[in-house]
Amino acid sequence: MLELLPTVLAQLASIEVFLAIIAGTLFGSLIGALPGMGTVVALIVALPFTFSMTSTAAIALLLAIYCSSVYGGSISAILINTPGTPQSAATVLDGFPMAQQGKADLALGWATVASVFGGLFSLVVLVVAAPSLAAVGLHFGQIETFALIVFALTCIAWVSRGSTIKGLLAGAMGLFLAMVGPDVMTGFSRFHFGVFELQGGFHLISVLVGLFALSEVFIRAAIPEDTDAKPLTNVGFRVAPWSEWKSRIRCLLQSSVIGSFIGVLPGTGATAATFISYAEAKRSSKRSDEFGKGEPEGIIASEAANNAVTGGALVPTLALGIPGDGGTAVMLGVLLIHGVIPGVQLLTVQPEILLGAFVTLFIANILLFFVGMLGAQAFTRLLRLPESLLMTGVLLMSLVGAFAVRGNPVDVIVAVVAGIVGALLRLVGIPMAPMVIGMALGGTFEESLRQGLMLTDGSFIGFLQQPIALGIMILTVLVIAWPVLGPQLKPPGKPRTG
Amino acid sequence: MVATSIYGTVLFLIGATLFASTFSGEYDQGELFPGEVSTVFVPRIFLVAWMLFSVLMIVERWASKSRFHWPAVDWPSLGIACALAALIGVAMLNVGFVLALVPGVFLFAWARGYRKLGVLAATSLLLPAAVWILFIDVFELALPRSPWFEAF
Repeated sequence: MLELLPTVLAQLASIEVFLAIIAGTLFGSLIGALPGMGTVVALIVALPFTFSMTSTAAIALLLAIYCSSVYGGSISAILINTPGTPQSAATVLDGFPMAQQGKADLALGWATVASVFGGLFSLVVLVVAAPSLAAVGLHFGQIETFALIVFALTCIAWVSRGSTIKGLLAGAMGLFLAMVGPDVMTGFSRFHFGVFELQGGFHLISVLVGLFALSEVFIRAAIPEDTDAKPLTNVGFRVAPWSEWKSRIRCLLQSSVIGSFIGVLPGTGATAATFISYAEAKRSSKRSDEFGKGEPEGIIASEAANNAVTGGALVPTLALGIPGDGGTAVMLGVLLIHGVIPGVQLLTVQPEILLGAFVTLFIANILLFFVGMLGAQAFTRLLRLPESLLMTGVLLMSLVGAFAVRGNPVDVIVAVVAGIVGALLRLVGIPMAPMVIGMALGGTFEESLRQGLMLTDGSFIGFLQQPIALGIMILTVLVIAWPVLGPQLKPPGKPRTG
Repeated sequence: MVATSIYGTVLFLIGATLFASTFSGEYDQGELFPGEVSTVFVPRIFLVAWMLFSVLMIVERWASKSRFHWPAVDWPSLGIACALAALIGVAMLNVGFVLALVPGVFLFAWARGYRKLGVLAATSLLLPAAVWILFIDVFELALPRSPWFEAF
C-alpha cells in the first residue's frame, strides 16, 4: 500500500485540502473546548460545508475535526474544571488541580503532547490493522457480514452509557428506522402510512442531526447548567523538561496502546478508553497516591488514550463500514454522500482512501501541537461565550445541515422531530448513539440476513455452519454473558489477615 | 419509577402498533420462493426486540434498588425551545432562509435567556446573512429562498 503514497500525496497537495485540514483542526479544537458541544456536534455543524467540497477535502475536514475536537475537550477540562467533551472527563481529575496550583500552562503542555503522541501512535494501528482486517473481510460473505453486525450492535449497546437494556432498546429503534422506505431487496415502500414524503425513508444525516445536535439544544433548554464563570488560572503553554517526561514514557505508551485497541472495537468510544487508561495508569504507577492531586501521569493517561481512539475507530469504519460511535457514524454518512462506500471493497478498490486518512490525521495531529501552543489565550475568551448564543448557532447550522444534504424540505422536518424525540428519550437515559448506529447498519443487516437465508434455503442452522460466522457469534454470546460469567471465573481473592 | 414505566409503556405501545401494521394486506406478497422471506420479516424482528426491551426497561427499573435521579426539567423552556425550533424550520421552508432565521435567531436566543439587545440584534442580522453568502455565493449550495425576493 505504501507504493500509493506518492499518488495520495499528490491528491492531498491542493490548497483546498490543506485549508480543510487547517480549518478542521482549528474548528474542532474550538468546538471541542466548549463544554457540551462535543465531537459529533462539531462534525454536524461543519457537515453542510462538505457538500460543495471534493470528497478528498470533505474527508480531510471531517477527519481533522474528529481528531482535534477530542483534544479540545482537555482545554476546558484543565481551565474550568469542566470537560469540553465526554472523552476528556478523566482529564479533569488531574488537569484542574494542576491548574489550581498555578501550573495551567504546564497542564496544557502535558495534555497537548500526550494527545499528539496518542493520535500519531494510533495511525500505526490504522495502517497495519485496517488492511489486515480487510484481508479477513474478503472472506466475508453475507452470513459473516450478518454475524459481524450483530456483534457490533451488541458491543455498542453493551457499553452504552447507563443501562444496557436502554442501549439495546435504542439500537432496536434505530434498526427499525432504517426499515422505513424502500425494501432493500424489492424496492417496495414500507411503513409510510400513506404519507408521500415518507416513501423514500429517512435520511441518516437528517436523523443524526436531530438526534445528536438538536436534542442537545433542547436538553440544554430543559436542564439549565450552572453558567457562573469559573476562575481561569495562569493560562499559557509550557512543555515539561525531558527529565519529567522520561519517567512517564511507559504511561504514555501504555495509554496509547489502550486507546488504539479500544478504538478498533465497535461501540467502545474514547470515553471508555480514557477511563480504562486512567484506571490502569493509576493502578500501575509508582505515583498512584498523587493521582487526583495534579499528577501529570493522570493527564497523560487520559489524553493519550482518547486521541489514540481516533485512528483505531477508523479501522472498523473504513475497513468494514461499521461506525463505532456517533462521530464515525457522521463520517460514514458523509463518505456515502460522496460516493465512497466504506467496507471490505474500499481497501481493494480505493486503497488510497485509507492512506489519505493516515496522511490527513498525521498532519492534523502535528497541527494540534501548534494549536495548543498558540491558542491558549484565545480559548479562554471562547469559553466565556454565553451558552444561549452557542445553542442558537447550533440550531441554525443543524437546520442548514438537514436541508443541505439533499435539498429536501422533509429532511428539515425529520431533523426537528428527531430532535424533539431524542430530547424526550434522553431525559429518561436512553442513549442516542446506539440508535444512530442501528439506523446506519439496519439496511445492511437486513440485506445480509435475507441474502444469507436465500443461500441456506431459509435455514438459520446454515448460519452456524460457516466457521467465521460461528466464531463471531460465539464472541457475541461471550460479550453478553461476560458480566455474569466473569466474576465466576476470577480466582478467589486472598483472605484478609489481621 | 413512574416516569420509566410511562416511557416504557408508550414505547411498547408504539412498537406494538407498528408490529400490528405489518399484518395488513398491503404487505401480502403471495407465494415466496425457497429461502425468500417477506418484506416485513426483518422489521418484525426489530419490532419484537423493540417491544421486548421496552418491557425489560420497566422491569429493570422496578427491580432496581437504586433511585433513578430524574433531572430537574424546566418543561416550559423545553416546550418553548421545541416549538420555536419547529416554527423556525417550517418558516425557513416557506418564507426562505434569511427571512426565517433573522427573527428566528433573535427569538431563540432571547427565549434562552440572552438579554444583550445590541449584540443579539447584530447577531440576528449578521449570522444568517453570513451563512447565506457563504453557502450561496462561495460554496454554491442551495438554501430555501424567499418566494417574494429574488436576492434571498
